Amino acid sequence: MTAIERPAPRFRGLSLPRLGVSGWIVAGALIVSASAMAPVVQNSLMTTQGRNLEALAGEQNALRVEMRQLEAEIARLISVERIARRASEIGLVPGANAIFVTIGETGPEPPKIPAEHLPESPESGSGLAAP
Amino acid sequence: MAHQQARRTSRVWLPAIAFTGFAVVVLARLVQVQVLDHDRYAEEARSELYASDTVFARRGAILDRNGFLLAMSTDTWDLYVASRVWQDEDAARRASEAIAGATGHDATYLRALVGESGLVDVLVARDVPYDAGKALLDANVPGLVGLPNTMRVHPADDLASSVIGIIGAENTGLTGIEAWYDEELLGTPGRVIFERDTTGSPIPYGETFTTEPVPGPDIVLTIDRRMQLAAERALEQAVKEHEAIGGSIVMMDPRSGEILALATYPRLTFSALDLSDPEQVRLLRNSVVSDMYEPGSVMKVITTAAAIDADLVTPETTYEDTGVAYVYGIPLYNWNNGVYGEQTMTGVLQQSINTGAVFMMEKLGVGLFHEYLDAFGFGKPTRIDLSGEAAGLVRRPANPNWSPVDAATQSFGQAISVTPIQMVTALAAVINGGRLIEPRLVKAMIARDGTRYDLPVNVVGQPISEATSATMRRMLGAVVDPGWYHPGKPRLYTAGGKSGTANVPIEASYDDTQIVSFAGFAPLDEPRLLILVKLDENADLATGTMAAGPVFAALVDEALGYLGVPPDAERVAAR
Repeated sequence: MTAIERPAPRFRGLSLPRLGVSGWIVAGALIVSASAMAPVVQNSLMTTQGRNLEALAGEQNALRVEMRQLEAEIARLISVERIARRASEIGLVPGANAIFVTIGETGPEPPKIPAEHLPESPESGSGLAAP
Repeated sequence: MAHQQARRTSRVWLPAIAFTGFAVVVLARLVQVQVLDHDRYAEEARSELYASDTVFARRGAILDRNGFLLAMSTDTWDLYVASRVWQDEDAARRASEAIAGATGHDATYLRALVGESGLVDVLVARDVPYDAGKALLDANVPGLVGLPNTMRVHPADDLASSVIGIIGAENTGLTGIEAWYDEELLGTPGRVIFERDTTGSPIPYGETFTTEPVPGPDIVLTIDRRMQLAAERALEQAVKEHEAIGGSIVMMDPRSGEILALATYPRLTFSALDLSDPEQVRLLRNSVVSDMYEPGSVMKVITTAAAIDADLVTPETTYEDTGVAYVYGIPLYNWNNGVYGEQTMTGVLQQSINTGAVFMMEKLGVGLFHEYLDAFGFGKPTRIDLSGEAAGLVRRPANPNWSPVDAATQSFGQAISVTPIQMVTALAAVINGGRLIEPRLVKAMIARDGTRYDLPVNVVGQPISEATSATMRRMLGAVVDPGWYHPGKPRLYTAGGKSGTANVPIEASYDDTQIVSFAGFAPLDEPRLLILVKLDENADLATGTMAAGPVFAALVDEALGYLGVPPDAERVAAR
């Protein structure tokens, strides 16, 4: 009887590696370990990010506080009583005879610190406006 | 194989019963703890695990009419100590010394405070400056917990302090604008609930529930800081010059009722406020709205306006002054016992003749005269937005001990008590076309999103006609510019006004002390400014014209120039 020689199939699809029983056990253990580690890693990442977030929030708050402190300092420095006191210290005195000049043009915009949120044209002037 | 069976002896049964009994007790206790009293124990556990605190909202700022800050809140810390941690003496000593160094408290006092309080968290320092508190917290001082808070600061120092008022420890307003607009300024406090460890400290990354605080809106006053400063300085100088015990100045825009400056002397000092001192506590009350006085001859303006409005007299109506008017047989003399002969009604105001005022009141009759007083708002609060406003006092025929002489003396400002703000409000109606407008100190509110809400002008009556108002302006102009020297005449602007000098009433009589005042407005035709200057018990006994008149004149020149009002060309040329 003549045996028919058949070529071995070149491609037989994906085949799983041949693992022994112990190999499967090791692989399973790895999968279980990875699954167990995932929440730990996730938790660690969240903690790190939470810490960063908290640090950023703290920094934001510190900047806000600093901004308010600067706002108060600006207000103190431009307070009319302090300016008058300082003017007096350097020898300035109120003008005795103001000269009034009537001009047809509107004056410059008043300074906007710290009233940046007020309407653009306050009813009363903030300086000695020309009549 | 046969099993051996234990013999049922007491050595077996007794332990079994004991164990069973014990199990039953434990089980019963478990049922009690976990089922019957579950809610109570759960609540106790929660209270042990969680702590909560109020987070105050940032209080709105107070600005002048041009947006300059007068009061604002800055960040601070309230420092608490977990008392359990300080049960360790060494920790308590180290921590208390660190806190004492930063806050200025005494370390021994701090340890005693915490040790004796019996609380889990003990407040040891309030409103610690932000940087100092932060440094302490970053240093991990044992048991120290910091909660953010805010503190009121006044960048313009004590400017307008009697208007702004003060707040209390819980950030609530106690006086002034802070009290009247407390609900708005306060915003909505938030709340933080956090998990804590056995020492009471927050557990890092523990559960935290926060209701965010909603900050209050900023309040824009009608006060102009420059005019306020001018008024405060002028008042202080006048009080000292005339040896008065105090005084007040009110500057109002008569067209809108907006108070541009409100100065009182002595005034509240924020930095040196000592509430254990009764004198300082007295300053918490704003005398412009709370204190009553007899206005004296300034009241003749109201009497004249009423008589003209009722068509009973004109500025040119004449009468004969004999120096005394008899009312039900009671003689009423002129302020200087002078006799002026034939006088017009304008002359009555110029010379401040009491008998002329009585003449007009008698033409009006008591009933109509009191109707006009009511229409001008006397005897009731003006509803200005400041706490503690007095209603004033108008004696009426229905009152006990009423005498017809009362109405006569009321016509020249006696037997009637008013507050300075009442007087200013009534005078504004006299010169602004006859409209009685509620005075106000707040112009607008600015919400956190920048939206601005302007408060409307509130006209509450029309006591006199526009024509009467125009006539009164001319008559009052003739008082300040009578053709001879008048101390209340401004250098640069036309003006009108009237002085008042009245003795201080005591029980059934008058004291030797006096209150002097001058109320005036400028410019004459279109008033932009109404000013009341009042000095209390000036020891030099100068009259209202002499003591308060020059203050009025100087303030008119300064304030109208500042407001950009063109001066009177003739007066500028005559300088």
